[in-house]
Amino acid sequence: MDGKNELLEQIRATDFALIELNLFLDTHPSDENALKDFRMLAETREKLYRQFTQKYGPLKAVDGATSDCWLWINDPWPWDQMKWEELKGGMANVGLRQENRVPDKY
Amino acid sequence: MWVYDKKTEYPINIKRPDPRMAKLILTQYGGPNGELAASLRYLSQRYAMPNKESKAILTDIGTEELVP
Repeated sequence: MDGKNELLEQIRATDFALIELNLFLDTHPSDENALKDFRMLAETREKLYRQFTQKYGPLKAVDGATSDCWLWINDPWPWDQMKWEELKGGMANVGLRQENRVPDKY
Repeated sequence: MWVYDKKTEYPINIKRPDPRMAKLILTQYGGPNGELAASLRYLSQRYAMPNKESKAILTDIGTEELVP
């Protein structure tokens, strides 16, 4: 339930509902049910987002800095088709050989 | 994914309306060699980048150029 992918999937599901409600509310700004659902989901979203960010790093650049580290650039990026658990950088996508990689730490 | 902020990056203050200048600026943004096209190129090229620094910089420049 609290694995990285599971948590991300929960955020995705919440975001999907929020986006649909957002579009609906743009043309029905005083629909009480939609407003209620939107606020409820926005709260859930914030909780999930905080949980994810604390545990697995930033989803947005503004959350990317710690006191001594710029976490934002860290792999994986969404198009790095790798399991979250085995972070090895995005080399698989471009077929660069292991020995030609730019090292993670200079 | 992208989320819209209801603010501009830099404040807009038009002192003297100038439709010809407006047209130039709009072309600079949305025209064939404009920022919009550049941003989409950055955002496509990032998929081929071999390290995290270049993935990040293309994502972030592409994002910055995307919306006025």
